[in-house]
Amino acid sequence: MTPIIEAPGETVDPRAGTNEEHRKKLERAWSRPGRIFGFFTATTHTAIGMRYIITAFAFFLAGGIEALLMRTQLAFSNNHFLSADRYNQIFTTHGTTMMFLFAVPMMEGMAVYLVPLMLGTRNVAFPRLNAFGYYMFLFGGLLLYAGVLTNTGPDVGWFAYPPLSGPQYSPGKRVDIWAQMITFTEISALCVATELIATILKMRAPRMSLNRLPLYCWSMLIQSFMVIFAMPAVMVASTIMLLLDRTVATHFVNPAAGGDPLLYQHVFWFFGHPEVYIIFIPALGFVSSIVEAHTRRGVFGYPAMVLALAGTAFIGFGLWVHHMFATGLPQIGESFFTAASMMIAITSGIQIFCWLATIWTGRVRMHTPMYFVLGFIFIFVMGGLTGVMLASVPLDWQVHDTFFVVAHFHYVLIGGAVFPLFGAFHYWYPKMTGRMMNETLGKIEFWILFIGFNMTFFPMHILGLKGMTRRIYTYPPEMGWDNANALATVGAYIIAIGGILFIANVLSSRKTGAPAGRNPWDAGTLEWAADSPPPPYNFEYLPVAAGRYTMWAPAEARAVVTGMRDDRREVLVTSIMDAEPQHRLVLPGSSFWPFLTALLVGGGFVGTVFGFNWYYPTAVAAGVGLIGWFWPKAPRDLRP
Amino acid sequence: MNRDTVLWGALLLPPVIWFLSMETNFALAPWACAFGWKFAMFVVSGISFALNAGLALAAWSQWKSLGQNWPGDEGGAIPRAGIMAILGMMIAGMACLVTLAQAVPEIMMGACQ
Ligand code: HEM
Ligand SMILES: [Cu+2]
Repeated sequence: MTPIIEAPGETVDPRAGTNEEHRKKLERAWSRPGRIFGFFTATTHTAIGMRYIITAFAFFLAGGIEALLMRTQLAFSNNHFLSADRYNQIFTTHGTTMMFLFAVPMMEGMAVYLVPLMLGTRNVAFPRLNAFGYYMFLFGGLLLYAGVLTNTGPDVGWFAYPPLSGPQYSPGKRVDIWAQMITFTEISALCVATELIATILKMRAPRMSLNRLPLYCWSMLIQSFMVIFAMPAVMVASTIMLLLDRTVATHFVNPAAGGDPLLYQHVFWFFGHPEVYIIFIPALGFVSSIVEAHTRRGVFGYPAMVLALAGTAFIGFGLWVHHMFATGLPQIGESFFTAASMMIAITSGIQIFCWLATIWTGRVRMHTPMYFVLGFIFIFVMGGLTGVMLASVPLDWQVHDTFFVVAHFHYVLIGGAVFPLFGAFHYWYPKMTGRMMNETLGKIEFWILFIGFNMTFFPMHILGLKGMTRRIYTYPPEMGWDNANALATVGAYIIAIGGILFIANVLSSRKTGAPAGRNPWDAGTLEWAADSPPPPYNFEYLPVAAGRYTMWAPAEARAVVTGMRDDRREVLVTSIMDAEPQHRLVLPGSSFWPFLTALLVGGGFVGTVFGFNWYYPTAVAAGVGLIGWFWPKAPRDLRP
Repeated sequence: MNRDTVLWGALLLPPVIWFLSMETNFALAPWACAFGWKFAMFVVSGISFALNAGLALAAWSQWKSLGQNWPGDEGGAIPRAGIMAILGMMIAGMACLVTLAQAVPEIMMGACQ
């Protein structure tokens, strides 16, 4: 039976509760076994997405504690709260945690949760791969922290340049753990990227042609392509070149053995710069969603917004050498990267212009998410300005490896990603939990975070110009760096207070928040058509797009899909460009295999930290896992 | 050529062309110094610019044949194709712009600076 799109008006309004029996059947088809065992079989995107979000947040807290430790150490001159070796481990672990275990997985997790809802479908295209990716991420994080807790935390900076990270200068297992942790997290990011691309291109609600795709989904589509181009590079750098140099004495990047350390820098930054945009582009999507809902209109200049996202993504691959200006490459070659670094300001400018135009000409409702958006715009513009300054070679020579750079990238990362993310938490919390967060507390959180943030990081610009280099564990009083450092440390504790208030708000609102209903913000996109929190099947009847903002279309224009089976996990596959229904696809149900495969592969990878030979049993174990994973299923699920 | 082929081409090729030209020029930098011959770089940038400009034109002519409307969020293939054409035009234009920006130091700087 082909799916039928019911003519508008003829069917049940997707927002009205209907048909108890239909609901029950769906519930049965989409639920997972209970108990502890069942927990490890979950494959619905809401469950996995929520685990990503919670786990990544836990790592954010760990990274935050490390930040506080560093700031405490740097509060005044000649402090000996941390030893030099501890300090090295802590800044490396902080940077590594924030980039690989918090920022990227958090953005992936939000997308895993939100994208299928926004597209009006029931799950991601590859549910088991999704679960596998999550466990790989979790195990990678646990590996790093197992190292940290046994005094084997990495201590060579979050980019682990050889020769320092090579076998001569970093004996022991610290760097190996770091390098293999990268493998885990990048596998996870690649899993999410592939499934998001497939989901966005092939599982959109009928009639959601490309010109109706929500901007957040555009941002995730583009970000996913960036992941696919960028992540393999860092795996080549860390897992192949660095780790093999260390474990089996290959000669890729080890100068003592005739290798080329600059090669490592090139390959690492070919990933490393796009990484910033991999974190940042989803945040731009959050901002668009929040602005739209709070002005109750589409963002001004939709094509320009998509262009800006795509432009940021591709120019993002032409900037990496700006991290290597101090390495003595030919200047005319470097100048191409300066030029590209300047050009990327245009794409950011377009977006900021479009948001401001939307806000300016609309009636804005100032809820907490909007505060975070405005805070983001302010901080990000500042971070962008210092970035353009750094893209000029002479200034970069002056402040390279100083706290000016630390200030710059925290403005971009926190302003550009963490502020929108907190906006997104406040904005989608009602969807995820069914309750509203406390508004007053939310606004207090914002001001505390905003003030604390500027107090921490603004003084670092000055410290950098005064010559304070990054990654030093203490400094003598004659340098005159004490005041600015003390201020930054106080700021860091203020940020921590803001974080604690946020957590308190999240926890208390779960119990006492006002019930949210389906669409508390009166937003336009399809995730707001589902119950809050969404049931495991998301929608009772799959929605049909009635424009870019279906929820704003008049009720009689909103249709739903009927004729889908409700006794198995069916989704609708639609065409790439115009989202015409093509066929019904049965997605796999709950499965233990993704967890088991991740456990086997992950265990093997941990072994490879200690010896290359572990790759052989790992390959066999992965094979065993995949055989179980792809074992043919009972025929009921396959009958048409 | 099929309309969709042109539309996808204008969307996806400009970044590739620009990236290849940048990589080639970067690789040429030491040679330009060794032989005192920046001309090869101008050729590469020129080709990149010409190809991207061509793609922008192709997308533009598609847009013209689609009625030159600024597409909103109507459903169906025509508005969707319209938005793809506009995006193609803008992305190819952006690639031209970046190529130009990178050509400026090529012209201004000595090969061995
Ligand atoms: C929450 C407040 C935060 C504070 C107070 C803070 C503080 C610091 C400090 C003091 C350093 C420099 C240490 C040194 O060079 O001696 C540092 C490094 C770094 N931070 Fe943060 N940070 C915070 C949040 C973040 C976030 C959210 C991210 C990323 C998303 C991040 C990414 C990094 C990276 C990549 C480094 C470089 C590590 C290295 O040098 O290898 N930080 N942070
Ligand atoms: Cu960069």
